[in-house]
Amino acid sequence: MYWPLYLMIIPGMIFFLVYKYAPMFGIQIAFKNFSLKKGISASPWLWEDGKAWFYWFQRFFRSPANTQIIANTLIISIGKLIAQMIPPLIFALAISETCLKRYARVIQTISYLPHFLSWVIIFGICATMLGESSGVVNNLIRKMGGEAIPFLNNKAYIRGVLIGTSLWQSLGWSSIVFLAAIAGIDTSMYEAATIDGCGRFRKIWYITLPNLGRIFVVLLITKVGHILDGGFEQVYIFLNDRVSSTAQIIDTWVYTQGLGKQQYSLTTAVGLLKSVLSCGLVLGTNALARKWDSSLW
Amino acid sequence: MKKLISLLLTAVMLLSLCAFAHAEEPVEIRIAVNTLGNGWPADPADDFVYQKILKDIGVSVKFDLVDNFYESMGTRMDVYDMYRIDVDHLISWGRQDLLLDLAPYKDKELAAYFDWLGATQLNAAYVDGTLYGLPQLYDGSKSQLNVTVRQDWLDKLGLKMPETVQDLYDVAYAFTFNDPDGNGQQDTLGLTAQKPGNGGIFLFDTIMGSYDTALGNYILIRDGKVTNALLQPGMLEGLKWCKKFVDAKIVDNDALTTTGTDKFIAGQVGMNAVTWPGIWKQYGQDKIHAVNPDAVTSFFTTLKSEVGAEDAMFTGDLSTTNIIMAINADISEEKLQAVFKYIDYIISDEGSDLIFYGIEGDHWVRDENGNVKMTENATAANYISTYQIFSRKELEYLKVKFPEAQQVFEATTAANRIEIYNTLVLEPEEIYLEDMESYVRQQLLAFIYGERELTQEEYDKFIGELNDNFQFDVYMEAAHDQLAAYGLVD
Repeated sequence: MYWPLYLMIIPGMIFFLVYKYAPMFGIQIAFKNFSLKKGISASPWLWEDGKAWFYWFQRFFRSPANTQIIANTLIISIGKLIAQMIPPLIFALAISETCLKRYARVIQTISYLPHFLSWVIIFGICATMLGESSGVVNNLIRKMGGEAIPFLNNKAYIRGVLIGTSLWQSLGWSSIVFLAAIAGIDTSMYEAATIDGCGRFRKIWYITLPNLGRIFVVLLITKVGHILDGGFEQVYIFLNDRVSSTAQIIDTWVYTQGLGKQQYSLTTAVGLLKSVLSCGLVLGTNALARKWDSSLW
Repeated sequence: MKKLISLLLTAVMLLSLCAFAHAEEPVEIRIAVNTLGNGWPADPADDFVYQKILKDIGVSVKFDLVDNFYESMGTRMDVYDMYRIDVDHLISWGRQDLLLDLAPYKDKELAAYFDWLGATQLNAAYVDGTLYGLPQLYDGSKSQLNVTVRQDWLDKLGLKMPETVQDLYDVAYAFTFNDPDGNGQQDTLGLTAQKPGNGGIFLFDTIMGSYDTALGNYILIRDGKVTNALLQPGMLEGLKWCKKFVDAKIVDNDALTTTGTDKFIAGQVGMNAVTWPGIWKQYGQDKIHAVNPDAVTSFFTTLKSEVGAEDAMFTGDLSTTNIIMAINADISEEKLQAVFKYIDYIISDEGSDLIFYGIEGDHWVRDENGNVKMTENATAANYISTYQIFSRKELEYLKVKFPEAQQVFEATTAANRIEIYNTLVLEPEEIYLEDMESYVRQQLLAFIYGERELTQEEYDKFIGELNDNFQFDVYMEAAHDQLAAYGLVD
C-alpha cells in the first residue's frame, strides 16, 4: 500500500547509487600506483610494484608538515563547529523572544544574506575591511592612535579570522533549524510556566533549551562528520605564506601535493583515511548521544 | 503515405551522402588550453585567423578552453591532439606515456621549428632523456618586472630615482612620512607590489635581487657550481634590508595577500613592483589620471648590486610561467601531419604576421620603413594571442602592440636576470618539495617580520632544519647531478 512512496524514493536512490556509491570503485587507487594512461583497473597494485600496501598513507604520515596540518585542521574545525552551533542558538533565542515581529523578520532576512556569498567575495570584503595598510578597521585604529593589526597576515590572528568569517557567514542560516524547533514547542508549556510565575529567562532555561536538546545533538552529529574537512574553499583563499604554519589544513595540503602534482593515489589515500575517521567520529558521537537518549538512529 | 515518407527520407539520406563524398573534409586538430584570448569568438565563422589558416593549409585548428584544466584533463586527454601545459605536467604525463615521443620527427618534420626556436630552452622539453615537449620561444623578455614610481612625488620632494637599496629606502621613507600628495595627512606608503605568485614575492624581490638572491628555494648556477638562493652569500644582508623596510612601516604588507596596483592608481602608494607594465598602456594611464590628473609615472628595473655581481632582477621565469606544447601519444598519422603543417605555418613569416597582428590591411599595415603599425581596427584582433602557442619574439611584438609602453619593455628586456634551474631538477622520491618550499617561504617571511631573530646563527639553524627535516642537502646533491647531466655544470 506504500508503493507510491517507494516509487518516490527511486530517483533519490539512483542519485546516491550513481554519484555516491559508484565512484567508490575509484577508491582502489589508494592502494595502486595509479597511471592516467592505464586507467583505474589496469594500474598496478602497490605490492605488484614492490611497495607496501599502505605506501600512500605512509607518505602522508611521513610528511614533515603532517602533525602541523592535522593540528591546524582540528583546531580550525572545532572552532568553527562551536561558532556554528552556539551563536546561532543564542541568535535564534533572541529572534524568537523579540516582541516586534516585523523587526525580527527584517533582522532574520539580513542575517541570511552572507550565506549566499562565495568565499572569494567574502575574502574581498575582508581584505577591504581588515587589510593592514588600508583596511577600514585598521584606518579607524590608526585614527584613534593605535597600531595597525595584521589580521590576514599574522599567524596568531588567522585562525580567529577563519572562524569569525565562518560565523558571520553562517549565523543566520544555521539559526533557521533552531527557530523551526522553537516554533514547534508546545505553547501550553509556556502558558503553564507563566501561571507558575516564571520570568522570561526561566522559561528559556527550563522549557526552550531542554526542548532544543535533541535537534542540537542531531546537528552536532552531522557536523562532527565534517570535522576533518576544515573548509577547503575558505582556507585556500585566505592562505598565504605568512600564515600557512597555522592555517594550512589537510585539504589544502592534499590540493597542493596531490592535484597540483598529479599524485592521484596519494590524494585518494588521504581522502579515504579522512572518510573512515569521519565515519568513526559520527558513529562515536551517536553512541555517546544514545546515553542521553537523543541519538540520531 | 508511409511509402512516400520513407522514400523521401531515403532520398534525403542519399543526397547528404553525396554531399559528404564531395566536400573535402579538412583535417581537424583540437588543442586544449586553459585560457583563451580576450574576446574569443564563439563561432569559427567569426574567427578570421581560423578561416585564413583553413584556407591556406586546409587544417581546421580548434582551441578548446578546458576549465579546471589539470583536474579535468585526467578523464579527457584522448579528446585532444595537443595540450598547452606546464613543465610539471610535461614530466608527469610524459612519464605515464601519455605524450608523443618527438625524437623521430626532430630532424625531419619538426626541423624548421627547432631551427626557429634555437637552443635556449630545449633542455626543458626533455623528460628523463625523451623529447616530449615543444617549448615556447624564450627571448629573455617574458617577465617585465619593474617598479613603477610616481615621478611627480619624486619631483615634489626633490628626490631622484632610486639606484641603490639605500635610495629605495630613502624614497619609500619620504613617500610615507613627507606627505608627497600634499594633503596634510600622513596617509601614503612607500612601496607596494603585485601579490606573490608565479614564483616570486614581488614586494621584496627588487631588494633581494640586488643581493643576487631571491626569497625561496631557487636553484642557481654561480661560478660553474650549482647553488641555491638560500645559500647565497648576500642572503642575510638582503633579509636585513627587507626587515628594515618592514620595521620602518614604509611597505604595504597587504601586498602579500592582495595586489597593490589599485592603491598605486589611487595615489595611496608611491611605488609598485609589477611583472607586467599594464599601467603604461593607455588604459592604465587613463585610470591613473582619472584619480590624479597631475600624476606622472616613471619606473626602474633593478637596483645597483650590493655584492659585486651584475645588477640582477629575479623573475622566476623558468619555473611556473613556463608553458610547453605537447602532443597526444595516440594521435593518428593524419592528424599528426596536420599538426606539423600548422607548426610550419605559424613560424613562417606569413603565418606569424597573421597570429601576431591579424589580417594585413585590416588590423595592421606596414609603414614605409617596413615596420608593422596597428590600425584602429586592431582591437578586433585581441583574441588571436591564443594562436601564439610558441609565444613570440616578445620585444618586437610588444613594441608594435603597445608602443606607449615601449621604453619599459626595452629596459626590462635589457635587464640582467637571475636565471633559475628548478624545472630541470626532479626531486628524489623521499623529498617533500612542496612542504619544503612552503616552509622556506614561511621562515624567510618570519625573519623579515621579526617573528624569528635575524642573526647568522639563527639563519644557519634554519638551513640545518632544512637539512634535517626536509633533506635539503640530498635535494641539492640531486640538483647538482641532474644539471651536470644536462652539461650545465661540471
